[in-house]
Amino acid sequence: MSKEVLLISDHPDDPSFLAEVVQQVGAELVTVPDPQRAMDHLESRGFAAIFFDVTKISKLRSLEMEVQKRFGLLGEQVQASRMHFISDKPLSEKREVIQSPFFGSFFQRPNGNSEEAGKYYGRILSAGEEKGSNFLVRFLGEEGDVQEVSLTRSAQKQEAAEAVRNYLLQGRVPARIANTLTNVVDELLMNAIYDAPSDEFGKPIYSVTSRNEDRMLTGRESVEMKVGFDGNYLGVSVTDHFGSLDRTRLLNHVSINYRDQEYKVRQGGAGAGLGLSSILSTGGSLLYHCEDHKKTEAILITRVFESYRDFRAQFRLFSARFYG
Amino acid sequence: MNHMITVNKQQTKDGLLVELVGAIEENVHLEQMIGPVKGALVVNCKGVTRINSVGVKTWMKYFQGLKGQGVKFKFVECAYPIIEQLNMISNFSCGGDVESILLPYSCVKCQNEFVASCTTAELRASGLTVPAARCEKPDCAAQFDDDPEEYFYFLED
Repeated sequence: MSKEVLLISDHPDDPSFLAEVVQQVGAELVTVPDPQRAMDHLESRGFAAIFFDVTKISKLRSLEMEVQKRFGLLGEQVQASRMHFISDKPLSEKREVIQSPFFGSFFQRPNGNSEEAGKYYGRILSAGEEKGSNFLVRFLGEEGDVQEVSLTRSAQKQEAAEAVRNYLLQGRVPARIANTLTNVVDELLMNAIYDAPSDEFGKPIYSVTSRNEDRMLTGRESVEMKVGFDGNYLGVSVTDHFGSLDRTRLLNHVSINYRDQEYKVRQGGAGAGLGLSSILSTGGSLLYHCEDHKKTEAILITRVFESYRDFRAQFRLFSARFYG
Repeated sequence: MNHMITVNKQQTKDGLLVELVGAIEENVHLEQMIGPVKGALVVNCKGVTRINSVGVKTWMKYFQGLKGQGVKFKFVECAYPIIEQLNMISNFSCGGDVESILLPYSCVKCQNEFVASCTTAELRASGLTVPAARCEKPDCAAQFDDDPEEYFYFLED
């Protein structure tokens, strides 16, 4: 990993947050207030990560124009997988950023303990430095005791979700938090079992299949779930072997806000992103690592608190990394 | 298997009282489980532990269908999974009245979790103020275990 992280922001709270992030990843921080001044740095060297304040959308558009002018949108200097958007609002209230070709990771500026949030973000960044499926092990360490389960039938989804619930309840996690996390696991498994499988042309195979229809999960349709808990953080990852996740669809689903518009019930099994939009609103970070036509790993990382109020208010991020 | 839903039914002179207990997911068929509704329908949701996205679709299909048939229905003692959906999806109640909800509390001393029931009329009358509540323990230090602004969002005008 390159030893420099670039912060493009003039917000007074961002440097202290980033100071913790770079300490965790062992990097140096370079700070500039605007996209124009970032260009000279970007022209001279590559950065391991770029943090950009998207509070003002005009600045994001300015960055896009500057990058296109100097490097072209496909340039190596600014890649979505290394870009981290900092916002003053949650993603559902900042939907315009999902249109940016640079959208990679997104978080709402921590409200309160930015030192702790920065450490957490740094841990996530460190664990995600290498591609591959060991993210949870790298994030949770040995204490996380990460265990893997392979689902061989779609009907095992509920059993797997309930196993996570029981695991949390045995760990004295409050029932409401355990139920909420069980629902998240349920949604991630459902996506891997029913939404990921696609044919050679990329067309979804089971999009209209009833979600309670039992079928064997063999070969490429097998689904792996990993679970680990280090006493503070719970990590769950669900992997499918299609790598069919559509970036635009994913970003639309995670940012949709049914508070402002009516939900229209459609025919078929899929829920128009209801599951994904609910995950981000409940507490915890959601990370997607998609290797095109190979696999998609959806990862939930959440801190487990003694009260739901703290659980819900926790600092979180959303990240979608796509590899060709 | 605690994730299977149970539907308890009681026919009264005014209509059908239904109690849902468990998770609402893809194996739940409300139309079959509840059956024909004579008179009004009262749905007690205090035992709902969670509802996934397929459950949400099932719920909305069923209650939108009832609304289309002109059946009057209301929800009582709505537990947090229902409150979360009411707050997240603007048309989740499908025109039904949310008469009462459960308020979650936890004790900062002993971490005891409990709920208290409150009518939405009382909450609105109080300006959406969280009522004080205590568990059975004498030194209870219970606090409302959520963000009131978020929890009562669906009750705001």
